Amino acid sequence: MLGRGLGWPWALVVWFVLLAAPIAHAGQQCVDTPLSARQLSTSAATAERVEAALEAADRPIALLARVGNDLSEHGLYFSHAGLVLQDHTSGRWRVWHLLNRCGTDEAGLHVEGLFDYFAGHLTRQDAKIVFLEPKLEQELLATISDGRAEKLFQPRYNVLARPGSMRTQNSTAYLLEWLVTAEFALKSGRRTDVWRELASEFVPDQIHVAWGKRVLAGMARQNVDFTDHSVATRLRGDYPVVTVRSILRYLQLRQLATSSVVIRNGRTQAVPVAQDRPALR
Amino acid sequence: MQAAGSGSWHLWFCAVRRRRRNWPERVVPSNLRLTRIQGVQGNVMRLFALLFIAASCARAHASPGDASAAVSEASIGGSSLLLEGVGDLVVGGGELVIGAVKIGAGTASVTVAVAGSATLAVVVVPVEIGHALTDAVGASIEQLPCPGGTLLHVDGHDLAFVPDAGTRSRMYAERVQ
Repeated sequence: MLGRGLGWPWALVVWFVLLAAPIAHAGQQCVDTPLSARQLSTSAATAERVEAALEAADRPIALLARVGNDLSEHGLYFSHAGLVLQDHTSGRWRVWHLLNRCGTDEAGLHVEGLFDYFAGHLTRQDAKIVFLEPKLEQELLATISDGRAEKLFQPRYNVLARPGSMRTQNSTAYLLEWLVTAEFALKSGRRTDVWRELASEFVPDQIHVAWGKRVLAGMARQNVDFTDHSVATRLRGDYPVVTVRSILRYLQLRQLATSSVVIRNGRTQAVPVAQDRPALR
Repeated sequence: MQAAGSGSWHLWFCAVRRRRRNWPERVVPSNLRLTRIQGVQGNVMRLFALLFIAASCARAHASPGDASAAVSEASIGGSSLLLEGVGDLVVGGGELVIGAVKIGAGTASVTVAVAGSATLAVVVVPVEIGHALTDAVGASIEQLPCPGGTLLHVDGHDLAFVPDAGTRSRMYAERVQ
């Protein structure tokens, strides 16, 4: 196709395709294949254990994290989190969280049952529940009933959303903004007010994205927008991002959490609030 | 050196992104690509096009904020999960058989029938399982208890998961915004 005498471009093509390979295989999300019966059974078991832990704690609302993507190359374990609370009418536990519509830059605010939350092509069927301070719990519930939780939502999704960006948002940034709205009892529901409070205390994680991946992701993925970050950041390739780990750190720093448990390999164990990687075997 | 390289690349793929944002849906506009290649001379643009195709093939990669709606929307909906009709009969101890197997692109549809009844349900399974079951029409389906429900098992293959009442109570999906 490229004609003769074009050895170097072909080499480049091969190089790029090879570069694309780990990108293509690292993720566990956006998979079209149906979940197997065994996967569904495993998800059901996880949901049951999480529910048991929530019932045992007898708290109205908690943070619930899962391991969707394998983020080990960034030194991260839990990749996604939402808030789980008991539905008033059914009495069932429901997870409120922000999800990205696969392959697009659109986000949606979703409420799911525990089974649905864990029924996906997740890297691991591990969960972390963080129980929050009673005052924070009550204010979080208030943000749902008065609509502030929805007002914080920004439909334009960016997996690498810059902390404080008003243009885009990702699931973890949304969760952090929700927690902070409740922490400071911010009545406006405006994201700018949240980040004004957060500026001095919150420390995001730095995610390094290699140059080759930046090029490919910039071309191929609509849910990655590097231009949300400064030129200096883009040249460095180290992107500040709100991660589950940074949220856990913040909760610990601000003493907003009372305890936490990790559910892994069928066992539930108390762990430090800020611990991202469980030591359970 | 990397910085200079990144800058020029950045300008280029920003331009590509801007164009992509204007495209309807997620379809790669092959005609647009061809037009661009023909309009700009040289193999370099063809190379860019090839790189673009290669990059377009790259799917989700490790990212700090996992959050993918397709996982819960598509996977459960199109998965080997039985709930209505047959699910109730599983609870009641009804005998199940393979009714029909239809092979599609990438997946197969297996009709599960309740012996002596008109109740049917269709399960979507990976195409490999579909191929393996094409000769198993009429075969009896084994029902194995498993965490959260029952596994329907036939000819060495897990066909479907039938959630029990507890799991059903944990099933819910709603988009608020």
